Amino acid sequence: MRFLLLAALVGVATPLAAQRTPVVRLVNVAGPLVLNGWDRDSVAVRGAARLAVSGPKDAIRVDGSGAGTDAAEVFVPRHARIEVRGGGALDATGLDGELEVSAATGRVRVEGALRRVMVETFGGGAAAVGNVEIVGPHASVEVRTPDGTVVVRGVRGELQVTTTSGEIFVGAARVRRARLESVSGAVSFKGVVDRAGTLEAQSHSGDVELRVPPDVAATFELAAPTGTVRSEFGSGSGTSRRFSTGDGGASIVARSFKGQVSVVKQPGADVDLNASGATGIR
Amino acid sequence: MNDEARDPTLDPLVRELPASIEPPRDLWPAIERRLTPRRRGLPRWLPLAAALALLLLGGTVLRRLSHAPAPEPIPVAAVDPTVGAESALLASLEHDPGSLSPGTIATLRRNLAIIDSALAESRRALAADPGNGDMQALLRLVQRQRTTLLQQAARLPRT
Repeated sequence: MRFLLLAALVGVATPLAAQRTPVVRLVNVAGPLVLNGWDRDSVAVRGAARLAVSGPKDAIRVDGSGAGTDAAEVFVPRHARIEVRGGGALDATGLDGELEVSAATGRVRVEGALRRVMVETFGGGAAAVGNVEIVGPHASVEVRTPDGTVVVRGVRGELQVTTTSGEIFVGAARVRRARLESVSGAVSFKGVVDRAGTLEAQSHSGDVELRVPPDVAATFELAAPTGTVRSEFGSGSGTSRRFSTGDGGASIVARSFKGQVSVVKQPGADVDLNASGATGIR
Repeated sequence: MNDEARDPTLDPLVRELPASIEPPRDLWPAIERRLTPRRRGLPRWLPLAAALALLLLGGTVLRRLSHAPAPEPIPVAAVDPTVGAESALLASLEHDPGSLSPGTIATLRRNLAIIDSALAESRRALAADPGNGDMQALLRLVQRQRTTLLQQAARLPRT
């Protein structure tokens, strides 16, 4: 049975209006959760089997374990800082504040234009549960996950992705500072690095592929000590190459211990072709 | 005893005896210690241990605050200072049966195995080419990942 709770959450709704950047803390006890940003200074929950609100300083507890396949749906002020802890799959849309997801064990998808997105997942063992997808011109994105695939599309600003065995795909990016790290997964970046910006992409055993504009001005450091290096920029060969293009403003580093490092000229690297359905992020 | 009954042969022998005898082993200090009630409270070594712990903690905090760059090059045989803390953390995660779900423990073990294999591979390669800056950077990457993974597991809510 679905139900709607609006300002019944007195303990939460009252301080939200009084705060410049309201903070909403959600504890997802179990089950999938859908998070929607809206233009109100109140919180509403729909579809959760059980709900408990314990006071202004505490978090809203959402327990969707008895709701079958229906996800609990929570509406929050779009400009708020949202903290979600635990739970299964999470879908967040329409937010432009901050979102911090921790201890999630399911798939996480975030779409919007947030000032900051931080997602930390820890898969429960199934192969695909750790997947994370962050879409939109977010100013700052940080993802930490042991496994699963991480896809970040359209980021504008800061980006940091850390995974042990997962793969990292970044597309349509325009970054000031980016660090992408995997131990055994592949790392793929397609986008633009700001002048004086930095991009560092590394994997121990996965391939690292960078697709950047043909007119990029950057200092490149490419290395694959026991693998191979291929670059459409610079000249020469070998497993460790350093060279500059243009005035060398940005710093681009790509390393793989035993995978292949490749740098490809990609016109329109920061355009999100996938948004129109034309092609994938690669 | 009266004089009639005294044996005259004993007198010279008695005169040869010393006026007093020091006991061969002084038992009193041990007896006194037993009689003195034991002081209740903290053991004597505790302040020393606390001071040592504070010293170590202070050193760790200072090191973190200083943001000192990693030393170059990494000595291949150097002891990784994080290994002790990581081992303790891992032991606490694995030996607390009610802490993490079996699936989470499996994820942790699987990924630690990947990391440890990569660490071994990196260290072997670096031993053969100790001055290789790229290999040093890649070794640091894997070490960082190990720490991040364990810290992340430690932050998970316990069941």
